[in-house]
Amino acid sequence: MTRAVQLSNAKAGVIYEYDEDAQRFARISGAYGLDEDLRAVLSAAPLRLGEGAAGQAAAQQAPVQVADVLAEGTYDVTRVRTIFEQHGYRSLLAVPLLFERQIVGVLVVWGREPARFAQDIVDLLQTLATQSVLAIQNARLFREIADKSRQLEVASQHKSEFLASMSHELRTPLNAILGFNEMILGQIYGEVPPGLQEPLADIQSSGRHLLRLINNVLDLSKIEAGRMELALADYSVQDTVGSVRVSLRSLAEDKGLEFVAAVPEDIPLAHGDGGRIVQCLTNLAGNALKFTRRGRVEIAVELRGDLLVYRVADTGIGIAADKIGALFAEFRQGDATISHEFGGTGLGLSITKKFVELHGGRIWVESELGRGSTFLIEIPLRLDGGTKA
Amino acid sequence: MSAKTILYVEDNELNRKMLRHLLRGTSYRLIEAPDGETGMTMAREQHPDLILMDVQLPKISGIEATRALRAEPSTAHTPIIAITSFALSGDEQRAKEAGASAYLAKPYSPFALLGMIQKLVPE
Repeated sequence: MTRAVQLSNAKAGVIYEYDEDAQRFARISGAYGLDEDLRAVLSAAPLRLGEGAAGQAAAQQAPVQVADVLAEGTYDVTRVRTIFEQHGYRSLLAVPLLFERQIVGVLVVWGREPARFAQDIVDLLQTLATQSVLAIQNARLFREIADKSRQLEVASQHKSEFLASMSHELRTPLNAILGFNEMILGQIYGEVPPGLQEPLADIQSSGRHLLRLINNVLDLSKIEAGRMELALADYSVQDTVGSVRVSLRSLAEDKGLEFVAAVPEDIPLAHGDGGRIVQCLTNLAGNALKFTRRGRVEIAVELRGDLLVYRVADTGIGIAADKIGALFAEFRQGDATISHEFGGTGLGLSITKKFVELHGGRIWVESELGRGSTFLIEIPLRLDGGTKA
Repeated sequence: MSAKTILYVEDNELNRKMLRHLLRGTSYRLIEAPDGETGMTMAREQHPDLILMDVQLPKISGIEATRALRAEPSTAHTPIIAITSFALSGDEQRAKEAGASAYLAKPYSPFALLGMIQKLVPE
């Protein structure tokens, strides 16, 4: 803008940006020597398409000039003309800024003397205008991206609030379903006929399954919203593995699988979110039991320096090398046909991975199709200070 | 010894009914409040031996009600079990800070709840 004003020997100059939707020059994106009074008028009541020299240049998509704005009938925008008069603007040249035949803005320079701008100045300003178009387009795109990401942030906030309240709403009826059913099974209403025992137990386990799914969806949405925080405390590795074994023992027994855990006695107290580690190991061992038809599932723990390594190994169906990469993505299982036989939403592994990463650790898998899988989690024995997802 | 009184503050009728059924075979006397405000009034007037306080309640939240009851001499030492909607949402931390004696996550096992009640106020 400075160059445009100096080269044309003008008093001041300005670049307006054109707002296509509002059909007016809503923004001043560059100015030189512009009087505050004029800026105030142009900002408060922006020129519209066809209004003033700038509006005409935009409408005609060609340069427009006025040799003397104060001469009768040459410049009709009273609010601007008044200021021209007060501050000594006499001549005016408006060059449209076009991008692929669309108006992006207008470059205007004002001279002190009543005179036409020479053709070489007009040509020069047209060249400068072409260059400014790109800068304006870039700035515009940048603003759009910033706007979009703000909108996305708000939407994501709404999404996680919705999921949190949804999960509460889903849990309330589930509390009654599971609670009444458990009381029937617990003979609060009298003896349960033998034929009803099994279907009631099925209601119970399906209800618990539904609860786990709801919890998983909520966990994932919190992680994605960056709102998941670990509850750090000392925890016993032995107890952690022990509680995973207890909760999955009946599943292993039902399938006739050997389910063992090996934790060295001398592993010291760990520091991290013990509850989340239980959740991770339950996911991994639960998967292992699910995808294993015969053989064994083993949880083992090893201390390597100040790193704690949990291993969950099975003798199950294994995972093909080309499927391993996608394994930890949401809603993915190794093979679409697998979900029909074995069930599951594919959320467990991605949540497990996120929790391991929150602990500053890593998770990986060693597997071969038909030869079982081993999942490994490596986390610091003592995590100092939490990291946010 | 007279029967111990338990106040259950919970807005969901089915959950209150569940507890009524659960305590039918016991000597506990159950009184119920559908919101935090009623719950606080009943706690002040009827001096229950134990309060079961749902965290998410209409009018006054269970957390606020717990904090307020802790500040009053007549209820300062009444055991309060906070019933949170999600074990991992930070509710239990807030419940503890407000002065709850114990907490239980929803959906809870009625027998686990009965066990907690019996531990805090033996029949």
